[in-house]
Amino acid sequence: MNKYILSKKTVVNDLATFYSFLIGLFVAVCIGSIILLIQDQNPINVFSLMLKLSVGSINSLSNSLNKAIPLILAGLGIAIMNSVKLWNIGAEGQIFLGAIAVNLIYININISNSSLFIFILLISGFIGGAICILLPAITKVFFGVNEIITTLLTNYVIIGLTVYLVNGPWKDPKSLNFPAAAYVGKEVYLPTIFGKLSTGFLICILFAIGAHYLKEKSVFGYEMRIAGGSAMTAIYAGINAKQKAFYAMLVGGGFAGLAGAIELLSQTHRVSPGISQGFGYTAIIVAAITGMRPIGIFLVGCLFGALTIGGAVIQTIGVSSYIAEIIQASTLIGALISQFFFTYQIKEVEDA
Amino acid sequence: MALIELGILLFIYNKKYEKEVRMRRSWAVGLIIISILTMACGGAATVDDYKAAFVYVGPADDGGWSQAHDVGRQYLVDQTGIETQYTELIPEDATAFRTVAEAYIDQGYNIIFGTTFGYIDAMAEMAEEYPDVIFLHCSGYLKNDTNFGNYFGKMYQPRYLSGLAAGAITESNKIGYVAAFPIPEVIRGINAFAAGVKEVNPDATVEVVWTFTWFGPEEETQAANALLETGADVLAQHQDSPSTGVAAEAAGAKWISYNTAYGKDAAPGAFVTAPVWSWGPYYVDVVESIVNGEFTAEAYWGGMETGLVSLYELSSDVPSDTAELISQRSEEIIAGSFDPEIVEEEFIDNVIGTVNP
Repeated sequence: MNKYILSKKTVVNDLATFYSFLIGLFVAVCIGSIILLIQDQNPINVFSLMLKLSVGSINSLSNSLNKAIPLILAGLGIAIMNSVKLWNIGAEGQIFLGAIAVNLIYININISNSSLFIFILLISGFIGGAICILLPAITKVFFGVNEIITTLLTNYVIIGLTVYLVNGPWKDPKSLNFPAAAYVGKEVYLPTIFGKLSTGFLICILFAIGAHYLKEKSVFGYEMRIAGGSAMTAIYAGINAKQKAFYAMLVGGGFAGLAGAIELLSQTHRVSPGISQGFGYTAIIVAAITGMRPIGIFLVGCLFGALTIGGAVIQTIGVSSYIAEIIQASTLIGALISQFFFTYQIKEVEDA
Repeated sequence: MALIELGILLFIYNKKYEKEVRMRRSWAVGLIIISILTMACGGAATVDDYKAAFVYVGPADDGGWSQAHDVGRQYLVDQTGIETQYTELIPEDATAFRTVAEAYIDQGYNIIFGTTFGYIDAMAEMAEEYPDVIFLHCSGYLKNDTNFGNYFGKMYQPRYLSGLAAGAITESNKIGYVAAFPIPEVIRGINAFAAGVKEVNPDATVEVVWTFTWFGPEEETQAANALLETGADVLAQHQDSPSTGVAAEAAGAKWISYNTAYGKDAAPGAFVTAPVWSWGPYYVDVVESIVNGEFTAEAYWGGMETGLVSLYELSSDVPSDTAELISQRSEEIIAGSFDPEIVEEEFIDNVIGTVNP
């Protein structure tokens, strides 16, 4: 008698993650339609308006892509760390510390050349994100402390620090005790490409390509994969696995920190507890469903940005915010399930 | 426009079609009739030319602040027939507000109500970007001269009245106050409440705990329990949910609610009274002024005399002499012969807590 086993496909289509996301979207549209029909709403109207309001005009398209920027950058950071088989659950905190670092530099340094100033602020954001993950990196490399726990817990510390700063030393006197820091000056706002799309999106494209080469094509990426794959092989090949893990963590944190810097300089313009609305956590999902592939993260990040805006604006046509959440969640579940079928196959094996 | 069109058509009719065949003439007459009709219909704006959108920070059925606005919105629809829509649970964050507001503007909404303080900067910016859209911000202090106004009510007046009730009810002489953010609006409410307490009970103190959220049932419950543990037997609140009342009821304490009386059902045993909002008439007035072309961007601050703010009916917990005092003071406030003092820089002496937490 033969039996059936589940095995991972040896060759996985690079675009599979993208397709699976589209299938997920289709599943979500089906589930959403049923719910909308129960609610006496016309699904075609709702979804076409949702589409129009999330990508149908220059304004809404740039809103969607702006929302994608932090998801893509933090997602890339997570993917780089995952090359050495480490999980970064701390992107949320790194986004916050990136933004805090930008504000710290902004209020203490003044550079008259605004392009140079913006460049320095972006770098400070990157360094801020790296500093955020420094402690988890050190404890991981030297003591083997589980990075999932330490990066997750760092989030709470950093968000607490943010709340302290905006209620204490950085509180804007003009905000009448409302917890937010003062706005940064217009001279350091990131310029826009078209509509309201910030130049942060170009940075995103560059970093996605960069991360792709770093992960897939560079010697460092190769060494990271070996180091993450097997400690014994790494030793045999003369690769310093600890050093690779350490660098991968710092770079991963830096990417998320940069996301915080861009968010501050292009969207919120000030430090407040609302800098990130869970971008760091959503980025984990984006990275996971794309199988940690940088180009996939870029594409799915863009779709996710549109979905976020679509979810927010769906309410403006009279659909409950909870239905919007159901549609977002079913997209994810649909994508994850269909991805399973792209990466695994059912094999028939002979019973020994 | 229609008048000019009419004039041109009459001119054409006289000069060109005078000697034309009857067919042409009737065509021109038809056009004149159409243009008269458009003049009659399109000359003055009607309520159908406007669509109003409401953006709430909490759920539209929160039993408090946002629900008070949503009841006002429904009243507006009933009275004027204007098309409205609302969006709930939008955080006090500039990009979140902007996303939603722009989606409304894309769909042709031209009156946007933002009903929480934190939308202030986004609304001020958007009012400059979209001069054809009217932005009305509740509880803010910014405005411009054309399309951006703010509106609020003198809630400290009924809060003072509710303080009279609280001062009379308390036995432990400890009153707790669960409050959201130390901004002027909240501080002035606490002081007016404490002034009412002091008037009937000079020995009682009002202890304040800040939650740093408008709508946060968990934070509100935590703060309420902390106050109950210190021995408070009456709780008041400047929060959007009825969680404080639920905590008070569980501890056998009394509760002065806020916003609406809808929260009463959440804690019927604890509910004493509530300073409440009635936004409906204001929404009708402002929308009618916009439709009639009489709108001016102003800072509207209605008191008890407008009906925008009032004290909900008292429960039987309030002694009858206090109830009499409350109705007397209420009449004085409405008549304008008395107004509780406005103090918003610091707490008055029977309040325990700090305005700079």
